[in-house]
Amino acid sequence: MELPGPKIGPLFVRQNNVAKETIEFVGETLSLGDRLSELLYGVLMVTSISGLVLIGEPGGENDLYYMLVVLFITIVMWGLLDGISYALLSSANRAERETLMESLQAESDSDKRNKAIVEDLDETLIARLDDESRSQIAAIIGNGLPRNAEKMTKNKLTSYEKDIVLAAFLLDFIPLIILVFPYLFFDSVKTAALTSHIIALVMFVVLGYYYSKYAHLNKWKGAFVCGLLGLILVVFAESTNLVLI
Amino acid sequence: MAFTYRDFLGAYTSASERYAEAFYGIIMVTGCTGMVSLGVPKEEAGVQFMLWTALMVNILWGLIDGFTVIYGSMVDDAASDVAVKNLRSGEDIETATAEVIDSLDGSLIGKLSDQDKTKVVEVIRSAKSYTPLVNKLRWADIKRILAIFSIDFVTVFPVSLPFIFLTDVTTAVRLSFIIATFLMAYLGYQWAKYARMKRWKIAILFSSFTIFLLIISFILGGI
Repeated sequence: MELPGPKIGPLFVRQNNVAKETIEFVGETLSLGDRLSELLYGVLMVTSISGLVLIGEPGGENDLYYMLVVLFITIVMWGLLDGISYALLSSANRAERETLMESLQAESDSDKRNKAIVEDLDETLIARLDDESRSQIAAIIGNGLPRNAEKMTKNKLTSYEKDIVLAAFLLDFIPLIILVFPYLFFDSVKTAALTSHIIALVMFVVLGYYYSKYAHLNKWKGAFVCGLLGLILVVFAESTNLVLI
Repeated sequence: MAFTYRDFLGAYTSASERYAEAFYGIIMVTGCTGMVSLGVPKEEAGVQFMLWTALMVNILWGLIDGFTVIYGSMVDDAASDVAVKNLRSGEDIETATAEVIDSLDGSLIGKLSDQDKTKVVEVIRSAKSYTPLVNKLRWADIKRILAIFSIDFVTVFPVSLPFIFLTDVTTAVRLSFIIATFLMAYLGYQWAKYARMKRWKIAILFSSFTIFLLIISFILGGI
């Protein structure tokens, strides 16, 4: 039986789709290693900044409001800076590859040309193949690279790189906003900071676990090391009076 | 011929990586010193505190950055290793093919036609042998971490200089921000030159980041 009143079902479906599409978008744009690194940087950034701001012991009844503003700016700024620098890095890597292509085009000595191709492949999974297969792949590249291609004079961010800016921003902003929530729900800055740092510690442990899991390392060791890193950050800060928790 | 510091960096980091590390380092230190300046005493003790903060942030960031770069690439290497194993065992070939091509996209293979990329995948699939990845921290990785750490430390050190030579916090922080702004402009210019982008546009964009941080600190009552 259908209940009277506004239909909220489709609204939830739409919200679910947006969340799913956002996750898919971030997943397609950034590699798993990059996603984990970005998250770790972000948690570290927010924890450090909230600790550092607390040294100032912002006084008066606007403490919480003050912390909220600072942390919100931190997350937005960090997300944007991270995204922009990441996109520029990708663009610089593209230019680096173009330079290599141009030097290969200019190289008349086939041995030197081949050596440069093999060197480029050395840092990829191709390096783990047998010698014969590596040579075959080098030959495919040697014959298949576009010849007399138009020289890249000006480099611009591609649409993929613009997507990177957005993906890195979303990846930083969405999970890190959790660390700001305590400042919305508690009356005292100290309690809010303590809760935020405990959440950050849990995030450190979870990130360490997944880092190691996907790097095929010992998961619990990874969780322990990352957790310890977070703990050192908080305890060191407390012992030097950097963080008031 | 002597092995110089420049050789060491060249051996363990790419040029674009070095620019990115310097960028992160400067932003980290200026962001943190800006926030700390909100509450430190304005006399000499405050300057000393700021110096320690800048150095600690610098050292910690350099180390963490180095380790995460290594572990991040370990995660990606492991993912491509799984994709190759799936490809060679015939398990979910379509996904494995896409993942293998994706992981090779940053190399010259990314410049090949789809047809040639398929040939490369076929060679990987039918290769006589493939050495599985063993992920562990090797001496070369540690050297890479040290290279990244040193880039952060060396680049950011000028930003800390005012805290060594000055006794007034406000002047030191402002001077530190000015140095950081020029450093960022120079970095942006060089990075854009390397990436064949518009040099002055990127230089202005980069320096505007530190100016924006300065404005935020100023509005919040820091400097």
